[in-house]
Amino acid sequence: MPIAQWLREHVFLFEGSTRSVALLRVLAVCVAWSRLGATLVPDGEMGAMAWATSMVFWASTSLMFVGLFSQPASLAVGLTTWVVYANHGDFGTADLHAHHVLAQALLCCLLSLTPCGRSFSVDRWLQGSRALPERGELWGLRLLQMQLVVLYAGAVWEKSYAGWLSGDRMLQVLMNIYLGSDPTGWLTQVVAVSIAWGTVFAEGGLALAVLFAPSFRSRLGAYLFGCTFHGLVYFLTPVSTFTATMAVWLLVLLPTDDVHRITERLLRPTKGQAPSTKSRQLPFLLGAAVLLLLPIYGRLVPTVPDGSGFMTLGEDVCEVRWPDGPAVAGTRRDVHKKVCGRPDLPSNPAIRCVVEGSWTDTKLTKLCRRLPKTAKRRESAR
Amino acid sequence: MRPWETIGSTRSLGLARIFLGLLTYAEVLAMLRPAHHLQHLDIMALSGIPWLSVPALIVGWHARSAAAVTGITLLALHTWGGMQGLTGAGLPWASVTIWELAITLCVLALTPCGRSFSVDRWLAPEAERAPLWGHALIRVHTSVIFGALAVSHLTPLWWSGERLARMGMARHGVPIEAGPLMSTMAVIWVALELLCCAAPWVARQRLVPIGLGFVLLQYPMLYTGTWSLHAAVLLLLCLDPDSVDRTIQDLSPQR
Repeated sequence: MPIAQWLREHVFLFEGSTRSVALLRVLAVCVAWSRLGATLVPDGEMGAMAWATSMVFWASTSLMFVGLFSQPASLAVGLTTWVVYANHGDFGTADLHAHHVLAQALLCCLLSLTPCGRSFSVDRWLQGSRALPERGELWGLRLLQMQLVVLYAGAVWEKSYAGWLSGDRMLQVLMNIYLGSDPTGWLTQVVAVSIAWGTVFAEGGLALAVLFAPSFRSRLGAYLFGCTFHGLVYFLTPVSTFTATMAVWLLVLLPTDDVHRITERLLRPTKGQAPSTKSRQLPFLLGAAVLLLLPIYGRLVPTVPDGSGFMTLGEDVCEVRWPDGPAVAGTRRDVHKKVCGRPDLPSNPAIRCVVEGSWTDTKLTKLCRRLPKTAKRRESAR
Repeated sequence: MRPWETIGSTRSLGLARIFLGLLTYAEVLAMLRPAHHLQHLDIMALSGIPWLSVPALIVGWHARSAAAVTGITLLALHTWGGMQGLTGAGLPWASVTIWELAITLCVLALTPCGRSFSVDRWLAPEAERAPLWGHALIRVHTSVIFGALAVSHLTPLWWSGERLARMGMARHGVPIEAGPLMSTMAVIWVALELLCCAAPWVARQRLVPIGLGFVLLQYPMLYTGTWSLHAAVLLLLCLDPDSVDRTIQDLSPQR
């Protein structure tokens, strides 16, 4: 078959069910919220551009999630994610300039080129009986698949150097996370080389599966393999949301009509035996009693929260005021970062912090003493 | 009809199962990586369990068992880790967010949450109607959460607006004075918590959307993290399951 004809049939005019791209749409938003939600909550330290990005992000992700103006919303989510990636300094954290954020932006931008609002969406519900069939031109899906191939092929290319293939780079990772700095033996070297080569083969295999896997079974197998591979990386190393992004993105492996068939089967009502009418009064009353007693139990046992929640939220705040300057406020840790070790700031500010529930005046030396290491409250470990 | 006699659609439970599974993944799994617990092999062993049960919960494979195992394991880790004074990578073990999520998962295990939108359904389709006494327990659980919150706010420090002001300062990094505005907000806040406490039982279709707006607004206002989404899922679950079923049917017409 001539290439031009093949491209026409299988790419430019490729049609299929829109349910898989609709699922991608919903799940991509969940990942976006997970990664960027905390960062993009507006606060007093954000500049105007960051505020605007935040507003657009929350509006567009909400629309994308429920499927209202789905394609423009997807584009807006992709663009705001890219803005966060490119201008990470405005959002206060350098780890936003990372591959997993860029991957998220690409996914959403490419989704906007698909009819992702034609299924599982408010767009569809509003159209009522005028709704188009759940089939559409899916050249955008082909772009998603091609980007996936490029992503994995690029990963293989990036790893094709002596430092990786010899296992040395993986050994560094293992020593950094698990083994410490003591010299390692031959067994560890074998494990490192195996993981290094295994990663290359896994990523290469996934790239080839997107292009050449012939059947639904083989593609499903590749999808499950891909999720397991990324899941293992997430389990063993301190990575962020790339695993979740890829678990969503890899859905493009599955043939669209098979996804439609599966969802159809899950949605189709099933006739079955009438539910049992046996009384469940006793288990209900027992369960309700346990649930009602839990907050009281929590107050008696120090290891269990008292059930009311958030009693310590905000109880570590400090406020710093200068006679001729703006005031600084926030958690003790945040104020510490803003004020301590800053010779440019005027001296002798008025400082007060909440200590054991009450505002207490304190001095700069006391505020700026070394803070004990505790888990950072909102730093994501994802 | 009495709560323990209700029979209804299981679709809202299926959707809630998926979202609660995703929430658990987002909130908890990262801190259960073995790299964080190399010094505590007992914790590391226990931490391995949710890595299997949470994916099973999300896809709905042996869904009720997955929910029970995840919830019980989180409670065990919560108590055991707290007793040892451990801190995970991100959130400390004594976190009310994780505690409440664990309780929710244990209660979810008492519902037919695997009967819809699940691998269990793919393998053995059953009618998506079942006794919903477990669903009624989720409504009790929701009321208890908001009721306990409201009770905890019956203090002079709250009514004066001082607590809200401090929470706002911690979140937004700007000085906030406790005054008439904060005090008024504090009163409205408790009223809304009591509304959320009543919403699972009274005028659900009207009160649940108000409660939903309240808990979702808390996310940008305070450091609530996934608690807001968790509370939102619980409130949505309190809607009439058959109404939710009809809405889903409307959204998924035949080809």
